Amino acid sequence: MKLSIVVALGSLLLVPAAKSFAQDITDPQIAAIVVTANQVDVEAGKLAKSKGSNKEIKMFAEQMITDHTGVNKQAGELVAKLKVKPEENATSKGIKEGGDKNLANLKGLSGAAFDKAYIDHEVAYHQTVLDAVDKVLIPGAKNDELKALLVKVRPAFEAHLAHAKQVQGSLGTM
Amino acid sequence: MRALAILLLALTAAATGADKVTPKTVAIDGTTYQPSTLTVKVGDAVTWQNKDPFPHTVTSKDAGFDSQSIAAGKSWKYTATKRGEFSYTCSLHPTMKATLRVE
Repeated sequence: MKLSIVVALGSLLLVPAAKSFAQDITDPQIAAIVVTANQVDVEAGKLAKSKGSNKEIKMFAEQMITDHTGVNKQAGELVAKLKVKPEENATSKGIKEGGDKNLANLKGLSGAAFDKAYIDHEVAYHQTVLDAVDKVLIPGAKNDELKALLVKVRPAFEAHLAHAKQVQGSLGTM
Repeated sequence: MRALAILLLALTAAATGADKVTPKTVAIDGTTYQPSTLTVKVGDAVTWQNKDPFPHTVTSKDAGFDSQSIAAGKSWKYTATKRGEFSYTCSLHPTMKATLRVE
């Protein structure tokens, strides 16, 4: 259940559907997906910052809150400037539902089990977000500035994935 | 008149030369350092400008400097004090790597 965000995003990538989805997706839909994807990671980060038991987990969670809040602030400013109104869609709804399920799952855990579930989800989540950014969101964005923002923030998701894997590995050795 | 013309030419050349000072600035943009290698001289001040919407650091174990967190839109200045080639990274985003060469 905790991987439902991943499933929601993953559904974007079904081959050969991904190509046509990238062509059909609209900028308002992309805006909603970006905002929701950042929000759910901020919410998971807030829970992990307070409930995590490991120092590295708490530091990672705090960074996710800061980085994803920053990306959403910039995305919000851009969509306001472009007068794009984020439009909810099956993918953004799926991400939100997945985020809620992840939180519910994490709330039932504590200690090392919580840390592991949180970081495992972060690894899978960032990998799937990266795939969606590469295969659907960047190719699908019509507005140049929206596309440029996605290109600009992409390496941060890559850095988060590497960082999450590093933290995941360090938990495994404890 | 001719002397004046030469003087004006000389002044213009000097002004143009002054404008050509290479800026010792590294942009932090898109979770990368640009340029990824910067060469400066001992005593030069280098500024890192964070153009991303979240914090980064400029951290070098080799050179012994650490900016700590540079907030979105802020910058950090470091004066190069010793010669060498120093790799640095962002302690928050370990995929970011660059080099400061001090001659």
